[in-house]
Amino acid sequence: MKEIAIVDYNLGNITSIKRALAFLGYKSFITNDPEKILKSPKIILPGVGAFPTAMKYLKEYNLIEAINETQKKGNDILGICLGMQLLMQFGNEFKKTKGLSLIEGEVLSINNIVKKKIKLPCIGWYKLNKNRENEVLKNINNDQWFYFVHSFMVSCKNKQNVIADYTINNISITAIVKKDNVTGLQFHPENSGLEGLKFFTNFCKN
Amino acid sequence: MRNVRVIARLDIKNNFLIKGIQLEGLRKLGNPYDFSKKYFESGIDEIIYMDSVASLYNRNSLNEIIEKTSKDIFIPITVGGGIRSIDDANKLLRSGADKIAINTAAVENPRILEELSNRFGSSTIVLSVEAKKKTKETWEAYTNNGREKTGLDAINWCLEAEKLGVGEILITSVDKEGTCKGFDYDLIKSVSEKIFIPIIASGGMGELTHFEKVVKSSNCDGVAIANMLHYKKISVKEIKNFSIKNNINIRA
Repeated sequence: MKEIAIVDYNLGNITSIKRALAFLGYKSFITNDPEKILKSPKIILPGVGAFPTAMKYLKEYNLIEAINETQKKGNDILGICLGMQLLMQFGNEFKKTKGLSLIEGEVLSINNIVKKKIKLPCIGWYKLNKNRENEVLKNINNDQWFYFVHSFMVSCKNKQNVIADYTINNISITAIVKKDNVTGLQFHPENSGLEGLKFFTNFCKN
Repeated sequence: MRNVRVIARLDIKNNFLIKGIQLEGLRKLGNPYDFSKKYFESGIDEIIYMDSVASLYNRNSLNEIIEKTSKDIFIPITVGGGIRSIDDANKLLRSGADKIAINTAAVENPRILEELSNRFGSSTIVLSVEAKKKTKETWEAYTNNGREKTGLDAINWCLEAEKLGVGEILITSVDKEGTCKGFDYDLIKSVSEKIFIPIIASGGMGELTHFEKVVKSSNCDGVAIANMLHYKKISVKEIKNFSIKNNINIRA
């Protein structure tokens, strides 16, 4: 199988993702070369950092078109944490910033929607609430915990795109989005124990 | 209510896991990776690696240990000790670290916290504070494992770091560290109520009731444990089972 491209836009814990894939026996490479991304059958947008900075680097490296093209070709895209948020139309960190617009919706501060403000970033292990069946969740046990660290959250226009969410202070926060060949995970599968790795297996096989 | 994280803290010197009393009088315990692996398999939520002599030599030497750890341990790994620049942080992140903890370099130049947070994201940057009691309700921040005074009030320093954009604060009581006599509950309570980012309590756990007390008497988000785990006085499972029984929200 051809190698999976991990898109390098200067941010975050990219190596952890590469190590997780290697552990599962999948080859991957870290790149900011649009040509290589276009040739790759599957790409991962990793994710720790700030929305505007990420978009700035994606633009600078001419990666926005390559990612859009990947989506149009029907090749699979997995966004993790900030990588998931970048899939949306707009971010609102510091200022309103245009995103990749692969899924309709925007990114809001968690404290915009909670009644009583919570400490941000929200860091911790939480269980998922499944909204609908999807192959993303194949072999994932209902009772498992996943590691979240974020201050912003995704708000999808089309609720059909929300596969699972999780709950803090009685508020639902989107945890998994999916639209055709584009998947987003708000938590970090690379930091969520062996159960988290199953999300990579589901993404990488086929 | 918050879900509390149980974190194993490993202080490392020359590639060995070490443990001392009040950050002094060090004893070698073994290979840090072996300890991490065991904790991962028994359900620890996170790991902190601290290079305990790095500040003295101005370099962090944990790259190899991080590389090995991140190959088959899939939980967040925070690394601290001797990180002085964006470049230092980047190297450790590229080795497989998930978060970077800063103490000395930030005391010398607080702006580095802002630079690091902007570059790698707030949630990647942890301020490490070594606090020593001064008066009943004040603490002073120290560096170099509680050896050097900074003249900074620990609480004010945390407030400043929060403004500069760090995503988390690891607060270690120099007085309680290694004593197994319980946390500095006043310190943890004070910091976790005044600071509006996640706080990790560190230093002093000697029995399960200490864990319960620090979680229930403060608003801390994580608890770092060293001695008790390293000397096998308790297992991760026992901590988790105890927490569930005592109504502490925790990853089972």
